[in-house]
Amino acid sequence: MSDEKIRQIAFYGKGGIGKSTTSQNTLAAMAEMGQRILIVGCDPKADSTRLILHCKAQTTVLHLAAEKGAVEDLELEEVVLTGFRGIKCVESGGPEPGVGCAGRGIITAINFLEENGAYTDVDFVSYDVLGDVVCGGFAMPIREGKAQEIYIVTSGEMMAMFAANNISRGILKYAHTGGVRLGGLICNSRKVDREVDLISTLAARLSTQMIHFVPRDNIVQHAELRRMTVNFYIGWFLMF
Amino acid sequence: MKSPGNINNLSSEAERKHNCQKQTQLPQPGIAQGSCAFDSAMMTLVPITDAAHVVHGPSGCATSAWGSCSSLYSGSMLHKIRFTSDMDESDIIFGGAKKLYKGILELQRRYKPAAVFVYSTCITALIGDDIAGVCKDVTNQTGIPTIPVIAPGFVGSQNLGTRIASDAILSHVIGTGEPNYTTPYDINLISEYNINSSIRKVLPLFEKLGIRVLARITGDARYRELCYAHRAKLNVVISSKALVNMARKMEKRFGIPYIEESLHSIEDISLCLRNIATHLGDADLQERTEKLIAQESSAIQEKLTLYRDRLQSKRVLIIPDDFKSWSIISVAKNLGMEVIAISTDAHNQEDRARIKRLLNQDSIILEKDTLEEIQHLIIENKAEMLIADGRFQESANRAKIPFLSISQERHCLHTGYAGILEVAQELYATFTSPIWRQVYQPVVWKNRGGEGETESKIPLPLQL
Repeated sequence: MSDEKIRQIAFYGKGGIGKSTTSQNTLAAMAEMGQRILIVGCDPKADSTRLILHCKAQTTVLHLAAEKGAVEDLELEEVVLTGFRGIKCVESGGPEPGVGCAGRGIITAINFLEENGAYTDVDFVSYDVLGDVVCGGFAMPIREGKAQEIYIVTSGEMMAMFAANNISRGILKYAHTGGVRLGGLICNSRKVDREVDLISTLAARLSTQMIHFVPRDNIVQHAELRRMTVNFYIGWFLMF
Repeated sequence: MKSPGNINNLSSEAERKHNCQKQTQLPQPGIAQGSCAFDSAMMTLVPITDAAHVVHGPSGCATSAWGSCSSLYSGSMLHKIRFTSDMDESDIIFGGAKKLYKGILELQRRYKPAAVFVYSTCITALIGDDIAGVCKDVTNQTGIPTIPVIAPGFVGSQNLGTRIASDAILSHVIGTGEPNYTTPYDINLISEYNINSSIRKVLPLFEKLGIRVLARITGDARYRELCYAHRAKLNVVISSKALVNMARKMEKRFGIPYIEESLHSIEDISLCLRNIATHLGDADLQERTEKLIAQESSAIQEKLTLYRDRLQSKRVLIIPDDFKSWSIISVAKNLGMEVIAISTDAHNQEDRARIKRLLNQDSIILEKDTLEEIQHLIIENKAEMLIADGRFQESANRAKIPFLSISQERHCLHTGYAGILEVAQELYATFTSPIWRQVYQPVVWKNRGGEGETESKIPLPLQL
């Protein structure tokens, strides 16, 4: 493919707003256009690659590392799986709810990927980070050498916009020292009144832009139920 | 490039790397002398005398072991001050990077160090404080190199900590400066933290030969030296398992060859000087080196004769601890003493093989190094002296034999030809301490009638 530098993007946003769904669907379409993609799931729930792999990933970095004893004993091939249209998928994994420290888990997993050369032969690396950025660990994907463009998925709902604003504050801190920038807001419509206006105004206040408005459509849910992206679902559906 | 006959190339590369990251032995209750990656990272870098060393964490972490290991320094005392960002609960919850940033700025304003090293601790690594970011900010603002060392205690064992610290120097320091001048005889000395006192004895030998030590990594080092260490013609790694890695990386990156040497016996020192001269490739230097070796060797052998006469064929029991022990073993052998070595669980394959090579016999392997066991061994082997770490002194006292401590806290200059002489002197002094004559006299009240208690089953030390 082209020799340009790879683009690293990260998706942040309120929990349940549609980051994993939106990003996987978008990346599936980009893969169809010929891009080589790596998805890095930064969520202990390990559900960032379900639609690409058509099943929930079992081989997360941290679980395998715990089994083998140390993360140094892990090989990259064991954790990077290939799914729809050759998209490479890797999940950080992490502790179950209520125990441990997920943030530290993200730090360890991303360091592992960096040190083992996971970022070769790809055009896009996409980080899907869990809901609220509650500690330093979840900001790992936006540190130096990783994601340079942050996209915040939001909707017209008050709490979602509030979260988007909050996350922007976190990004600001890293934007001062590094090259990371807020790429824009993605509105995942919840059919709120005057949603477009709301999000456009919010974007303007944050000195950014709304890069896309995703209309609400149940086909996304139909596809997700079957563990597929919409592209794949349509193709599969048409076969019958 | 490695010097022949060296013990460090026992295992293959992959094995060495694997061992580096795993514990070679499990800690045992009672004898665990714990130290973690953070501790050893600090120990590796704190000898850089004119840099400030900041621990980013609660103030308790700053009281690590390095302070108690004394070693001689000739430079500034700045590295002796323990700087900490003193994180409290509130800082842990809200993040400590800002506090660290302000603290470092204040430090630089007050002390004007040549550089600042910032160490991550377990807690700041856990909460994900962006230490690297803070260091970059400070460096941009003040121009004083501020280097992050991310080796929190939980990442692994001591060796890993040393490796991380040496990587930090390689990434941030080496190559950032230039020396005032270079000569074809520039070398770097790479060794572990507490050997710098030992190196002192060897430096005069280098000077006599016209070999210039460009940088000492990291014993008694100056920050500036490290910046231009990449200009040396040869790296000499002295008795260090963990820092050999650094020499290897420097070879890859700068093309500087390296040799591994030890300085713990007369043969080793001569070999070391000879190898350095060979690698620097100057015929005149090689000739001078041979002359110096011959001169020093014969001088030392002559001086050792006195001690050999007195100490020959004495039996001594030794529990090797660190590399200091090797020099003692070789000197003892040189003086004609009978050396019996004990291996404990703390020794790995390499150490045991080395013992075998030095003594031409296997060491006695001790399952549990309890005081009773050792005392038993002393009596069984009719040992006349015990050489071990300080915690075994009790065994020697109970068995009523002289004891020589080789614990890490004592700094002794045991290398170089002069150092070898000092080892002999220490052995001699320990043996001939006047107290033993008094200890072996029969107790006064036993002589007044009644049976005398059988004296200790150990033969008397040498008569003076």
